[in-house]
Amino acid sequence: MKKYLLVLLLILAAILRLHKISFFPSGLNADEAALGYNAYSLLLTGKDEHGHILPVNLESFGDFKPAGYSYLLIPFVKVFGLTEFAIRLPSALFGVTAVFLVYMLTKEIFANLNFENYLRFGIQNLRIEEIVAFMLAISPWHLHFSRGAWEVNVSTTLLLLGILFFVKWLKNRELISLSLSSLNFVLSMYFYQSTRVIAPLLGLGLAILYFKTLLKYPKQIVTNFLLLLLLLAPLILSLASSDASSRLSGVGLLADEGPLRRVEQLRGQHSDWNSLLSRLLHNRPVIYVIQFVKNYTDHFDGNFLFVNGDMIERNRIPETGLFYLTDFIFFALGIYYVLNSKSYKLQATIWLWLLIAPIASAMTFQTPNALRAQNLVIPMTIITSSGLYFFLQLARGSNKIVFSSLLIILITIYIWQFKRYLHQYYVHYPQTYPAAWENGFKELVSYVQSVQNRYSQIWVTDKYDQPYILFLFYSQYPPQKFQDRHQLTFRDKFNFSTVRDFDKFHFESAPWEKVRDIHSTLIVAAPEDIPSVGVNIVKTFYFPNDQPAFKIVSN
Amino acid sequence: MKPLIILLPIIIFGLFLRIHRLDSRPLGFTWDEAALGYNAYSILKTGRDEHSQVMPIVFKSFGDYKPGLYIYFTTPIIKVLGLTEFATRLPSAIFGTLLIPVIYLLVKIQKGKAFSLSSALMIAINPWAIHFSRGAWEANLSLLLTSLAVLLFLKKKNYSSSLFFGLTFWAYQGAKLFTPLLIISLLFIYRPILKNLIKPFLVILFILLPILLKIGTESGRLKVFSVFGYTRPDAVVSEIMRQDNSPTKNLSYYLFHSELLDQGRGIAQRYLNHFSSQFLFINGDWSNPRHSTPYYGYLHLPEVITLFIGIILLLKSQSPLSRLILAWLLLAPLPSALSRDIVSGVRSLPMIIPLIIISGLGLSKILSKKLLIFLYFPVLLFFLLYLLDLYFVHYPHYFASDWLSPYKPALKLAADNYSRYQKIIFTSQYGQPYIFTLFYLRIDPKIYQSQNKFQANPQRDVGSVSRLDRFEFRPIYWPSDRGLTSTLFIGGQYELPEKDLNIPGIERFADINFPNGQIALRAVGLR
Repeated sequence: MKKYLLVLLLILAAILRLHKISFFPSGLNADEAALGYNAYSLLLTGKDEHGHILPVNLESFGDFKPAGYSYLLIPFVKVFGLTEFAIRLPSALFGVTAVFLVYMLTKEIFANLNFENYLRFGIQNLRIEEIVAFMLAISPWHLHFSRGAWEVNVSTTLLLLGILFFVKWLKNRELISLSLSSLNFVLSMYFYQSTRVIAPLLGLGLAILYFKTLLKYPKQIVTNFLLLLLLLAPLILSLASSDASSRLSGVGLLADEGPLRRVEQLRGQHSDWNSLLSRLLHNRPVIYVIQFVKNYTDHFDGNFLFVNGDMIERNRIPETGLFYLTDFIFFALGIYYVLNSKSYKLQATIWLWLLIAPIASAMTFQTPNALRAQNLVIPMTIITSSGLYFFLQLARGSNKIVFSSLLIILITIYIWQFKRYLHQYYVHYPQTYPAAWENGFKELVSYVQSVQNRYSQIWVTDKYDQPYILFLFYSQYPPQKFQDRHQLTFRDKFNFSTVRDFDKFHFESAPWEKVRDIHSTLIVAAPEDIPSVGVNIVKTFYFPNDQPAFKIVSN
Repeated sequence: MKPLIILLPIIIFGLFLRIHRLDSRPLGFTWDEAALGYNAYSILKTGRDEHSQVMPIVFKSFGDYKPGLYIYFTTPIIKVLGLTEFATRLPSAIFGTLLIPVIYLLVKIQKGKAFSLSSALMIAINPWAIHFSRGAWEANLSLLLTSLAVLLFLKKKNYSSSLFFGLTFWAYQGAKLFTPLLIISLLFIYRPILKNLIKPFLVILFILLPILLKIGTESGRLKVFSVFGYTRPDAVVSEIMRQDNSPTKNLSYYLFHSELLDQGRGIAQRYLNHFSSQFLFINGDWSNPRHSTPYYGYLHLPEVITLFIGIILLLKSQSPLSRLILAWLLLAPLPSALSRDIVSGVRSLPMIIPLIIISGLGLSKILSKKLLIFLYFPVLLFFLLYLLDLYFVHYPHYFASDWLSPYKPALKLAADNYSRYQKIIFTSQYGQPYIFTLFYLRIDPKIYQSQNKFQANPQRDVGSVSRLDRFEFRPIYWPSDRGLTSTLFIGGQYELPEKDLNIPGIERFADINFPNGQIALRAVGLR
């Protein structure tokens, strides 16, 4: 009977994550295309797009993405071809898995002590882990990053698995559980940059929390330590031998020069800019510590979590929070409840995760960041659901009519909010931020392919992020031909680079003054670059909101 | 005996932080401060306010109807110290200092002395409390009265408690929503015998009577500030309808995009903003430079830790005081959430009490571990120093224009040259110049009352005065004004353009600058 509900929840989770996955999010962003094309390249040649053999990190746009997701994609690309569906499917499947795992984890953490963990409704009863699984299944934050080739989602699921095995170990004390926990923690580090900070911190945190318990098993510790070394070796070697660590210097906290400018300004306002006081108060360490604390605490900003979400268009649904609006009430209740409930034997693991989750994101600028701190969704959903559960428990104490009406109101509100989220996601998102997902490249590439034989060169605007990779992806350009016949540009100040030329293609911004005299060329330009009269515009592509995306000019 | 030896220095230090250079930090003087000061002066000299009302409870002022209690507290101080910025601000500094022992006593009801002393220390050095104690802020008076009323309620002194609760309505507009909410939570949490409360309740009602009687005439102001007075621009709505592919407002519009929902989301956002780290630890009230120190929050940064520890302890404790603090914390941002500003440090000022007590609770926990004391106090001290540096050294560089610092030197210039010109045209670009003229020139209230030419604002927002004695307050339009004679002009640099000032017979005065060097006002005379 009870298993039945879990299966239903998983089906719900799967439908929400798989429904029209190729078309929503509408478009394909450069990172997704890169992961897909590198998987294609690895499948066919064993090398990434730039010709590195079996890399741990993909050089890609100079951002050295962890390569895990591309390896994971290989069988999917083999079976389904190089399509949006194939490259998005693994993230969606890991999302469904996460719903199952969070169910298991809550069940373990919420010890079966005094029957406190279920609510009786007539003959039925509702368990806390079922509420958690449901809330994660419909969580806007989790759904968003389950739909799309987001490595972060795989990484978060692996973290969840690592914690689950650790909690299992706390119960059964068997080496296999501890080893599986370590394995999953390490594995998650091969998938996503931020997790390379989060996973070790979580592991360390758990080791400190349960230090005394661990000490009783010295043999297991030694075995596990050796296992960790072995698993981490490729990662450490790759970080030491390549430029992979450059990513942090590009997007890291210290790359943001704003605070430094402020220090200079503040010093200038002292009558003696170099006085002891001025130097003591206004300097790099102080300002960046303040900045770090700001970045960290920003992730617990209610406006970010419940009302408006991330500022970055790729990470946000218009007018929607990462959680449902009313969740903040239950989150607050949940904190109260979990702190005071005697049944939460292992609640420390949840608090630990909650506090560690935003650290990696806080080390970068652009905070709060829904992508880099995505693993926060798990502990927060557990706490929010506990609050919901606590609320139901409180309401249960009142008389029947009050309880039933509260229940009906609650269900109505959540159904309405859920419907609103879907409406925003499927109707408004593609129209509000079409450029965020680089909508239009699919049609563009197939059009260009159909006419490219007539031109000696094809010039494509670089207004939209990394156009070359979308051309490679959609034309399924043979990686053998690409690998050694292109060049990455020098890195910009965020340590990104791109490819300007391959085959007939040239990628550069295409203002009319620059390209008007280049002949026998097909020009794919941003609409604002091309005047509307006196130019031979052969075709125009539109975004879903009817704004022009590309103008194509034949010279 | 021993707690007093620690408490006294804390209070004295708190007082020092509140009155040191009170006349010039914040540099400048707001029109509300000038109005409070001048009306107190007017009451002192004539028993009437600037609009000739005899001893009003609510002062019309600019048409914003200020509750008058602060003015009556200021009157005796102005009698002693004269009409100065210091005298106008002093009552608030004193209220802020008195808050320290009140918090001490409030916490002492419940717990040990480490907790109450920690809370007293935290309020003494708190940036938020210090900020609103330095400046004539009616909200600060209301804060003290509220805390005092709660303290007396907990001591079961119902009559004096209701007196102070009632007086909050005479002190500050925002109390009209918050005081009732707080009283209701007190009744819920402590469940006193209601029969005993009937008479004290009549006390509150009696105090409220004069305000209730006038509520109709003053409600216009509320409309200006309320969130419900504003709706989305039409372009936003029509874009949503275009995306929904529907030319009319269909079901999906009413379900998912209604005005009501949008306002609800706005209220939630504003409410949550008051719990954001941006507000508490990083910038304070970022929507209004008058409300906080640049680049500093309303709590010290290391209080992230004490607040965190405190909130855990608070949530685990089941005592009535914990519940009261929690209710206080959750209710305090409501008046602010329902008003139009995205966040407000002045309307949510009552939040400070629960926050400080929670932080004090966390600090008292730290105090119980010797090692942590040595780690924590130096950091706290460092940040206090950081705050004081920002406040005393840097604040004028950023926000002097918001604090209207040019008025004082400009009006000194006007006073010095008063007899040499028939007419003085003073720009209205910084707002309400008449009240500053009254304040800094100490114009006899009797004379002003007889010739008051206040004009109400048709939008029911604040009104203005355009003429006073030889002064004319209006924007200067140089191409036509340059023909006037025997006139002193004080205006902005774009109103008196440098290149057009080469007229024979013109008298140039030195420009009045902001502390950061930008030109604030320019003065020229035409003989």
